[in-house]
Amino acid sequence: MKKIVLTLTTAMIFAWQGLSFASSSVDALIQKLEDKGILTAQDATQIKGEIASDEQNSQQNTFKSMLPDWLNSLKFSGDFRLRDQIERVRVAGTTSGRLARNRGRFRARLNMEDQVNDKVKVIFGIATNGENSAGAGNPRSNNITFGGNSTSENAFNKPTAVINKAYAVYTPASWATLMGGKMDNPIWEPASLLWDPNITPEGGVFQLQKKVSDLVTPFSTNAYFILADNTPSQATSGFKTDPYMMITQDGIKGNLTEKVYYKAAGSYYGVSNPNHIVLSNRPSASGLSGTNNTNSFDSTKAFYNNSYDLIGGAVELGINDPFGELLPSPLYVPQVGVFGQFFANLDLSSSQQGKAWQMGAYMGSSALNGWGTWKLQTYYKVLERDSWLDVFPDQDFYNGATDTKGFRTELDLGLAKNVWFVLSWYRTNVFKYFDHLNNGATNDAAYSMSAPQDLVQADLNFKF
Amino acid sequence: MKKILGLVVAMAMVTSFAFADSTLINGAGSTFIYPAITKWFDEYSKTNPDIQFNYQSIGSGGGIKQISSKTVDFGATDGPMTMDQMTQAPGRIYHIPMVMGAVAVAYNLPGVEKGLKLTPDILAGIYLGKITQWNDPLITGQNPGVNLPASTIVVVHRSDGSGTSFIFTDYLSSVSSEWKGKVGKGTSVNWPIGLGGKGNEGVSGLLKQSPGSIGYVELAYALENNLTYAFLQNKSGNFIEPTIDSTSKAADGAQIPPDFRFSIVNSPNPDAYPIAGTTWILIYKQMDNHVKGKAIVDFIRWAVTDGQKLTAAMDYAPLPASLVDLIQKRLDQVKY
Repeated sequence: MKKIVLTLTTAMIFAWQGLSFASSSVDALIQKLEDKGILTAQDATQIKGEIASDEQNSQQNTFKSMLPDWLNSLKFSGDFRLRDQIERVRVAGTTSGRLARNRGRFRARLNMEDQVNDKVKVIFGIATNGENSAGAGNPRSNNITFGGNSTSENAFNKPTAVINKAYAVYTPASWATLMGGKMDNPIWEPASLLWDPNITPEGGVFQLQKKVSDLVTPFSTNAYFILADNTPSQATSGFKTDPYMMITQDGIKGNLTEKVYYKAAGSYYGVSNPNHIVLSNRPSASGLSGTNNTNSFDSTKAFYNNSYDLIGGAVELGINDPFGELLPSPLYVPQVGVFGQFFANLDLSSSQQGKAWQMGAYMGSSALNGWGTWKLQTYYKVLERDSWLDVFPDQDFYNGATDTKGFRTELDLGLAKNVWFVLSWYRTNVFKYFDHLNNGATNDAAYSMSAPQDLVQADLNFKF
Repeated sequence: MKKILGLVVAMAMVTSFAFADSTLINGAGSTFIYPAITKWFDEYSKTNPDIQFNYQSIGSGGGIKQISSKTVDFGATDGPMTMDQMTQAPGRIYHIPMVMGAVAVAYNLPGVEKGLKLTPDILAGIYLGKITQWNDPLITGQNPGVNLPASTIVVVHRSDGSGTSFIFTDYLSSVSSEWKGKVGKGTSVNWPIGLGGKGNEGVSGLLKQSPGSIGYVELAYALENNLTYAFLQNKSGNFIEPTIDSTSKAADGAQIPPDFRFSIVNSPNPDAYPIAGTTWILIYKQMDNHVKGKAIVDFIRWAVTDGQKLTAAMDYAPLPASLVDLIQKRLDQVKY
């Protein structure tokens, strides 16, 4: 009997809807039926939910059917970050001077992705134009500082946006991917050692990945990135002199048990012709901080002197739910892990400063998914002065310079769906010979210094 | 006048207390458990009128997402959460088995009654696209006397993410290393061949309109719609008809891990039907709300004991008593 009443009621309501009454009228009708005892509160809630769902689906389907296929498959995503940072940095040319300041910043990114056909998709993204003393389009930052970053930017200057990424992805088979354009960095690092996370390199990539078993999934990433198109003054021998980078990263990942997971990869980076052109966005040699390293930098031409042939690898090992039911329920730790990474520049003799490495650990949720999710990560890293081109490392780690060392610790807290808070602290310092040319030293041994920097960032992130 | 006013105030207070005492429990997830859970809600509300339920049958994947983001008080899923999904949740999630069911392998072969005998190799071979004809020697060898046509096998599978697909692919992964390596298990996989149907209705529709077709549907659906279905060879080598009893037997020999994320496919029990699965309710160990937490735990206790009698009449296999004991102990650990 109840089912009949429910069915009749639902049918009446749908008929009512068919007469194009507003949904509020339908709600009022359901409320009336509930008040009269014909429907229980539970039935009323159920019917309201079903009607709302049907109405939404109907509207969406009608709207979707009016759009061309390519527009239906278009997806938008993005994020917005509000930052307050406190920094205490050394004053250039001194060993003891400190300058402290507080800055408010923001970053906004918008991405569009369209599945062109079953095997091809195109990704395009714009972002705020990161401030850069050398010009627009800082590859290592998309931050805009409140009040501007220079004397010419203030009183609510309007910042510009840049193309952050634009690339095509072709997947001829489930285990193979080809990419071309300005793309998200496809090279895996357990934490930022060689690459600033904001960098979107340009060139082509070929990736292979095939799961063999739960234990082993081999993967291979092979990239050709163009660092600079040759300037006319340097173009005496054609395109062959263009600085470029070739990378191969080959590794395996999988689960040793259901709880224990790992990832390991060996990598080779070959950077050719970096001495043929001025690479922009190097850390400033003057101002608040900077680097001028003898072996990697010719102070006359401002070119890198060395080519770079890096070989090394990275390992990550983690445990899911490591403590099981041992801890009280409010202290749930979903995951813990450790990682390490090492690289050596083979173009240097062993006495030179050509090594880069890091070690770290993390614990917490594997993704920030609303209130209650969290992650704590810390690592220590060393970038010797000629280990890597100083246009690429994390710009927040001693201004992205090489010949640096230090800790980075980060606490992430999920606040609500797609909203999370991040507190980061960089405690960094000179590794050995930092900036000695700028400070009047005549050789490496004659100059060394300790000049610690602190950077604390509090970020409120929104994802959409 | 004062009396009337007093009466109105008293009534308003009673009404407001009545509303204040009413607790609404929101859940979402598995479509497979929807009929059972609706029946449970109706019956439970009769003796507990202060508890209201709202369940959205949006599929197992949706249930996992909703409980992970805490937009519902409980989720329901036919496939257990992966370790990766669990590490993304803002708290420890308990899997509570609620009902068990079987996946029937149905076919449309005019003139062939139910009971076609299929081995694991045959079923995996058909779904891998290696056995393409109904009169393949492997099939005829198991079915002497059955007049199998020399026609192409039309393979049908689910096109949507579903717990039924999870159970079916979990079974194929457990009996075929080739399937495990090439396809694997999941609510949605890259099927090597076949036509996709949305929901049990979609698969059933394709089966009915395509002579020579084979597909998989929930047992309850196959029984209600009088579909012809196969008897499958289990781990012990016996050909078993999918029934409530043979589904229950699947859990008898199952290894039950402490987190209850077990699989009962390909059971070693000689009388068990091999493609059987469980539907779990997902709840947090640490409940945010005392009243709701207690209400949910009380409801689950009732559903896994008294409630099992109601669902047996709906073609769900009841939980074994030994498992119910373990569930009761697990519920004791829930904090609210």
